[in-house]
Amino acid sequence: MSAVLSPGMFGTAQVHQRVHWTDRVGHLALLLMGILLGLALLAPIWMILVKSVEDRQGAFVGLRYFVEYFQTPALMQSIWNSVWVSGLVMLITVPAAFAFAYALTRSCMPFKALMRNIALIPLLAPSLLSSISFIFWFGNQGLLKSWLGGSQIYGAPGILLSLCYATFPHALMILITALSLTDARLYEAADSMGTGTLRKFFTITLPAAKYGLISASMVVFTYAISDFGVPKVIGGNFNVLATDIFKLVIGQQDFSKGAVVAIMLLLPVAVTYVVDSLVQRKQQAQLTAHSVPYVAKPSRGFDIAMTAFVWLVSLLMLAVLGMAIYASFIKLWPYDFSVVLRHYRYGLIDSGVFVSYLNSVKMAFWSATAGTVVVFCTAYLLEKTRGMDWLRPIVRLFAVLPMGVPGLVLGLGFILFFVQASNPLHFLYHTMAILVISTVVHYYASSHLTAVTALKQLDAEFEAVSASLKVPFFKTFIFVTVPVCLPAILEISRYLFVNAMTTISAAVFLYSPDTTLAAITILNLDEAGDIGPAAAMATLIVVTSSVACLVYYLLNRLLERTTQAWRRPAEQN
Amino acid sequence: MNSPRAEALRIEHVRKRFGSFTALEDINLTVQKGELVCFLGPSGCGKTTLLRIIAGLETQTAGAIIQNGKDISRLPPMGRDYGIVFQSYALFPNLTTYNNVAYGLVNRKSSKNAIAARVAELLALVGLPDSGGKYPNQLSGGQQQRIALARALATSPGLLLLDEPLSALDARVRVRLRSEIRTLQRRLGVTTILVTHDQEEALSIADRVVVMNQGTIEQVGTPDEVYLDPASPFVADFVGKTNLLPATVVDGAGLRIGSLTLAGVSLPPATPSGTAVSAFTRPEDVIVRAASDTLANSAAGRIENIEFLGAHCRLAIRVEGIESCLVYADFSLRGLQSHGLEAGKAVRVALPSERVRVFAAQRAPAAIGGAVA
Repeated sequence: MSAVLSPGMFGTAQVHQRVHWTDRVGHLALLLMGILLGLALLAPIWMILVKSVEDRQGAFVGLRYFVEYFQTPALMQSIWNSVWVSGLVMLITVPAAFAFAYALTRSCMPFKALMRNIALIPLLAPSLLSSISFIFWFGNQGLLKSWLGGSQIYGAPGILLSLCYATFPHALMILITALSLTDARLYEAADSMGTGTLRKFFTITLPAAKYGLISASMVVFTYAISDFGVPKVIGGNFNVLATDIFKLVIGQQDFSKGAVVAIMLLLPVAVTYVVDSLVQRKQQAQLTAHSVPYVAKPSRGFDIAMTAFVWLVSLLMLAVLGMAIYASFIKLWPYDFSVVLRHYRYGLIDSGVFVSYLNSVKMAFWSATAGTVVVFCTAYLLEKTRGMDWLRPIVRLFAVLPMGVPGLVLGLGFILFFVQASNPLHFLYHTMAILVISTVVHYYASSHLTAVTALKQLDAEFEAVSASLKVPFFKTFIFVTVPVCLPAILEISRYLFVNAMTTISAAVFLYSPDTTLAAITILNLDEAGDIGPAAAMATLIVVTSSVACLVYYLLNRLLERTTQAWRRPAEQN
Repeated sequence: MNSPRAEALRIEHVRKRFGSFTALEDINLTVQKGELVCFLGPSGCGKTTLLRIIAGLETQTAGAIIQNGKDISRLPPMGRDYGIVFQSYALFPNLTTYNNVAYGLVNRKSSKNAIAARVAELLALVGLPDSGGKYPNQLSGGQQQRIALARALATSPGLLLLDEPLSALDARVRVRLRSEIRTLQRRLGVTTILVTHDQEEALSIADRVVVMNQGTIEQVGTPDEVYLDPASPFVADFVGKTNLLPATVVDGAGLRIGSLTLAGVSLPPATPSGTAVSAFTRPEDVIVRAASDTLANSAAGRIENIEFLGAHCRLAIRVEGIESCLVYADFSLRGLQSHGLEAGKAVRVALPSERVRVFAAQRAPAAIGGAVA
C-alpha cells in the first residue's frame, strides 16, 4: 500500500469543470448583487473617509479636520456624552430585559404572549415617539413635571429614558432566544445532585445566556450611540455625536467635519460589531438537535414576583405609547384637554405634511417588496449555487457589514456619493429610490440572516437532485425554494416594512422636499413647536406598522392553512 | 461470471485534494453495464467524494471519468447522465409524490399523458402505486426513499448513484428495502453505484464490492472474494470479524503461531523463514474443543468470556503461546452445549491452515487502517 504522494505523477494541472449556461446565469446574478451591495455600502463609506481629509474645494488636507476636531472642547464633550449615556442605557436595559425574558421563559406567569407583544411595541414606532411622549409626561408642560423636582427632562435624563424604552425590545428578543437555548437535561442533572436554585442560576442559566447577554449589550449600545431622533427631540443642549453630525452637515454644510464625526461614530460601533460577531460564532453549537427544551414548573412566590415585574414594565411601555396617542387627540395641551381630531385634520392634512406619510408608506412598500426580493435572491445565490467561490466570502461580508454601520453614517456616505454630478448614479439623488436603497442596505444584515437561516434548513441536495434531473436551478428556486421559504420571506418583508416606516437616521440626509418621510416630518414638526401634530404623525406610524404586522400575521396564518398538508410533519412514523 | 459485458464507466487516475488533505489517491476502476457496485469503507475513506466526482458535484483534482466511452471529466452535473438518491432523500416537501417523480420529466417537454403514464409506471415499480397525491412528510422514511428512487429512475438514466440510501432507516426497513433495490436494479438492468459503510449491506447486494480506505481502493472483488480472500489486512479487518495473530514463517512454507505450526499456508512472495508476519482467520473458522477432547495440531487455551449475540456466541479465548491477544471463535448455542464449552473452561484450539491468510506484520492489536502512509 503505497500512499506516498507523487505530485508530478498525473501532471499538476487542476481539472476544471465546464460551466453550464444555467450556472453562468447564477454567477452573473451573484456578481451583479456583489457589485450592487459593494457599491451601496463601500462607496459611501469610502466617500466619508475621503471627505474627512479634503477641504471644501476638494484639496487634500491630511488630518487637519481631525486635529481641529480634537481641539474643539464642545465636540470632545459630545464623544464623552455619547459614550456614557449609551453605556448607562446598556446597563439599565440589558438587566431589565434579561429579567423580562427570564420571566417569559422560566416562570409560569399568565399572558406570556400578550406581555411579550406589549414589550415589542417600541419596534413599531420611530425611537423619537418615546421622546415626544416623555415631553408630554415630564416636559415643561408635562403632566408629571413635579415628579422631577427642579430638574429638567430635556437633556441626558430624557435621552436615557427614551433610549431605554426604544432599545428594550431589541435586547429582549436576543435574550429570549438565549434563554430558550438551554437544555432542560442540565437542570434535571443538577436537580438529581440536589443543586440549589441560586447555584443552578449561576452555573447553568447565566453561562448559557452569556453570549446572548454580550450580544444584547452590544446591540443596545450600538443603537443608543447611533440614534439620532431621540437626542434631537429631547436632548436640549446636551450634545451627542449623532446630533453633532447633523448640525455640522445640515446646519453648517461642513461635510468634512461631519465626515470626521461620522468616523468617530463608526469606531465604537465597529468595535461592538466585531465583538458581537465573534460572540455569535461561539454561540452556534450550543444547542444540539438532541437537546430537550426547558419547561417551567409552577413556583408560587417566584411566579408572583415575576408577574409583578413584567406587568410593571408592560405598564410603563403602555404609558409611553398611550401618552403619545392620547396627546395627539388633545385640543390644546395643557390648557384644553378636550379630545378632538384637529392635529390630524389641520396639523397634518391641511398643513400639507400628510404627503410625507404617504411617502413613508410608499417607501416602506418598495423596501418590503423589492428589498425582500434582493435579500432573498442574494442569500439563495450565496448559499445554494455552485462556483465563483472567490466571490462568495466577499458578498457574505457585504451582507452582514451593514450591521456595523450606523444609519446616520450610511446616510451621510450616500449623500456624499450620489451628490457628485460626475457620478453616473447621480440621477438617483433626491429620489424615492435612494431612500429605498439606503433603507434596504441599512437593514440588510438581519434580513439576510433570516433568509440564510431559512435556506440552511432546506435539504442541501435539492440543487444536486435538480441538476441530475436536468432541471435548471432557477426553476427549482421558483417551484421549491421560494414556496418552502415563504414564511421567512414574509418575515423579511415585514421587518423591512416596519423599519422603513420608522427609520430616520439614514433618510434624514437623503430626503428631498418631494420625498419627506413621516418620521422626519415628526422631527420638523417638533422643531417648529408643533408637538401635537408630531404626536399625531407618530401615532399614524404606530397604527400603520401595527396594521402591517397584522396583515403579515394573517398572511402567515393563511399560508399555514393552505400548506399544512406538506408543512406539518405527519404524526406517525 | 457472465459473458463479458460492455463497460459503462471508467475511472482513471482520479485524485482529489482538499487543500493539503488528500481525499482520493489515484483511483482506477471500471464498472460494467448493468452491474451493481458498492463503494464500501469507513467514514472519511473517500467513497462519497468519489461518488460526487462521478456525479460532477465535486471536481477531481486530476484524472478522468469516462462514461460509455465519452470523457465526462469536465462536464457539469447538468451535462451528465445519471440519477441520484441521497441519504436525506432530498424530496421536495411542497410537491406531491407525483410531482416529485415527474420533476425531471416535465422539463423534457413530454406530453402530459406520457408523463402521467411514466409516473404511474414508476410508482408501481417501487411498490407505491397509490401514493401519487401524498406529500413526502405523509410517507414513512422507507416510502420516501422509494419515491426518491422512482424520481431518480424517471428519466431512465444510464447510471444510478445511491449515496448511503439506507443509512437513515431503521434496521428492519433497511434490510427489506435493500433487497428490493437489488431486485429492481436486476429487473431494469441499470448500472448502479451504491455507497455504504455497512459491510453486510455491501456483501448482500453488490455484484462487486470496492473496499476503500484513506482515499485508496484496497480491493475490488465479488462479495465472497472480498470476504474469503481479503487482499489486505484492512479488508480482512473491515469486512467481517477477524482474528489478527502474530506469527512467524518457518521452514520456508510453514507458519508458527504460538505453539501451533501450520503447513500449507499460502504466504506472500519473498517471505523467508523467520519473517514476522500477521495471520488472519475468521472466528467461524476457529476450531475449539473441550480440553478433554483430542484435537490434532491444537494449542491449549482457556475461555475468558462468552458473548451472546443472538444467532451465535462469540468465545474469547486466551491461547497458550499467543497471550498477547485474545482469539475469537464463533459457535452456535447448540454447538456450545454439545462441546461442553463454558466461560473459564480449559479448551484446545486449532486453526485450519486453508482458512488462514498471511500478511506482512501488523502492529498489534489490530489497528483498523493500520497501514498509514
